[in-house]
Amino acid sequence: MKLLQKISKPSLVLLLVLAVWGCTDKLDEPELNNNFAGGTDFTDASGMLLSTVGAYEAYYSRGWEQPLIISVRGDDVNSGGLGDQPEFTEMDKFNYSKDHWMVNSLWENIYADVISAHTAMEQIARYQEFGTDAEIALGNQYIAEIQVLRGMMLFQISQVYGDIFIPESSDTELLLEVETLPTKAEVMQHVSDQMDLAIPVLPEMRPNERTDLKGGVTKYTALAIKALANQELENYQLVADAAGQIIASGRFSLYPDFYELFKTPGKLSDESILDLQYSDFNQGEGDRFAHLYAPYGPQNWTPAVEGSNSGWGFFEPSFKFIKFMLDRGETVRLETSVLFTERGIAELQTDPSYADLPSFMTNVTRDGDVINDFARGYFSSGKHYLPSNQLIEGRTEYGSNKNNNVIRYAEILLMYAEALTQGASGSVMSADQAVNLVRERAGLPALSGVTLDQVIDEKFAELAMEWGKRYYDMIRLKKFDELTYDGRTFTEAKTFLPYPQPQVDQFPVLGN
Amino acid sequence: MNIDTGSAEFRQRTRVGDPVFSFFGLEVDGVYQNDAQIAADPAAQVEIANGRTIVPGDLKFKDQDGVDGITADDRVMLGNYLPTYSFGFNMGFNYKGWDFSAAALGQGGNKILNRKRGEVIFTNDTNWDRDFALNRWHGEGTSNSYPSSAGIRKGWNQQLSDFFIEKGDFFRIQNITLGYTINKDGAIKGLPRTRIYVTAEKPLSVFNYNGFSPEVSNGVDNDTYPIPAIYTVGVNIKI
Repeated sequence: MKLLQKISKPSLVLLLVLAVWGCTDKLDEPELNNNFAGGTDFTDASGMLLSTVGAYEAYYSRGWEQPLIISVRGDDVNSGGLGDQPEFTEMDKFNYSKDHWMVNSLWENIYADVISAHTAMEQIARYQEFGTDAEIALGNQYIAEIQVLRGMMLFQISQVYGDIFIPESSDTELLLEVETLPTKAEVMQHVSDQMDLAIPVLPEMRPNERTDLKGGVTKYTALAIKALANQELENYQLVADAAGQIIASGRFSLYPDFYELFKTPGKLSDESILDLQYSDFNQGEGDRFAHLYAPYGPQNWTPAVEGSNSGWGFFEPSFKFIKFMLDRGETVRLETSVLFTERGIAELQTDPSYADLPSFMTNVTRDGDVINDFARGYFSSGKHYLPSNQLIEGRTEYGSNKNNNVIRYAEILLMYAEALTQGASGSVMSADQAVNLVRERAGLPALSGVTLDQVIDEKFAELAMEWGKRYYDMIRLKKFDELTYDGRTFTEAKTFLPYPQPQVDQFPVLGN
Repeated sequence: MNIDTGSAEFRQRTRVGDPVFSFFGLEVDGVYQNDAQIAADPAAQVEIANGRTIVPGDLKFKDQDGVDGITADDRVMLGNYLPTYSFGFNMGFNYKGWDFSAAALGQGGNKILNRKRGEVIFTNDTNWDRDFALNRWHGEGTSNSYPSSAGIRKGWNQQLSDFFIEKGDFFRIQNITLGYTINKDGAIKGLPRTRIYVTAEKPLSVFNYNGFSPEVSNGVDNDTYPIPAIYTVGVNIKI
């Protein structure tokens, strides 16, 4: 009390007034006005690179479930039986639940990263206000790169959900005001238009030629996404033009060894157009920027390098795919795409037409990893497998240090060939030539006069297990009966996943 | 206008007219005991027509609006974590050399989300508590509130419902101390004043909640460490 008595009464009143001021001041301030970049010096243009790297980081940091959700519904791959995630299996069988966490997780995480992309672009624009001409030009290139990543994300979730929001800035409140949801066609058109804006600003080189951001986006990434978006729109002439430009550049080539393409030797090869990049930084311990590949791996194996972890068995190449490959006389592509178990091989052989199997079909990989039988599935994905002897010594996580190919040159050739067989014209090469380049690497004889069906089969053989590309081809071509396989029944109504209930709660426009 | 909080799978909703942060989900209306009950339930029939599989041992949810089976519109407020009452008391007495004190507290009317059970949504082979293991539905008439072991691993039963929301009422003795002081008044020269005492901290908690502790800070029990009881015996000598 003595202390209080010493403080004069006026000063006490002053203190209280100040306190009241201090409080209301903070309360009145809208959240929006907070500067999250607090203290960022926008006159130092080197910060633009940090914003750009942040957008790449957001795109690369895909949770394990997200590529699986995008991919699992195709006839190339299964959920791997009743595993740890029964609703994921239901999704594989085309029974969707709007309440399932995975359905929400894909939507929520992709949108969070699209918004991060906008934040990064807005930050770069602020640096540009103070920048020199050269810095402004560099900022424009970075913004174009981020637009490409954003475009790919919108492309992928529109494939999954159909009609979706197109955010135009980092202000998510604006989405609450959307009265009609952009249709899938509008989303694809938007993506294509954005690529048109980005293409002239982006560097003319392969991603692996970039020295500032190794493996980053280039003009050809944008052209590839433009081709993909127009393929969804069935604008085959634009597909042929965009893919043709990539081919005509002469910069890309197929990595000669299909098996190693998906492993360390093929990392960021001249075939790579867009990769999710991961790294152990060549160190056996410490920091690592990684994707959780365990869901793709076999649940039980005896790795050549002792102590390497096995996987979860959530991603199982289908019998339909394996039989399709055997019927075609495929070798390296089948060997690369599938990790076989003895149980899986025995099950295959119960069909008398597949009693005699080629010698590469064993449960021991080229690199000496032994795939043991496991309860959850018959097979595992070989394209998501990194041999244990390629793991950096000291690292034991399944597939650690492996990149994830999103778009590669082989797909560009096949998109081009398909567009031509769909009636588009292209002068850079014939459909036969494009398909035969892909077949040559696979060790298959050349075709002449390729038909649409042959190109689609080639895509199945070449791109299986990669990002549901097969599923979305079947949807686009309305080959719904292909998706009715191995006990599943597909109907057109099952094309898209439902909007996640938590999103419908937040954005009632999704419920209309 | 709603304010949605909590995670997407375990939604808490704040809206005008209801307590804040209420758990928002389906109301359990029993467990389907046999095929006849499923056949007789119009909501179940709608779901089956939509491609759902519903078998005995699955939860039966209350179709609040009576249309279109069990939909998002059938979700209701399932209570919140703020207690409607809480109480506590301290008591003590001294008699000759004896001293005794006790403190207890409790609360009621609050709800806890048993997020540990909810973990099954993400991890199918998660551990289960004894109560669920013993009282799960495992044949006609065995339970009218818990689904079967297979059932709880199905999405249908994993929708947020009051299966995951439990009563948080509890009563706890925080502290009991009993002591006796020798030579309290100093009458015996040469003998120091010596107090011998026994203390029990949190020796007794009474609750029905199926977690380790009903004291969960915001009503979401992710992984609460069990609260230990501490017993202390002490001697206090004054020289």
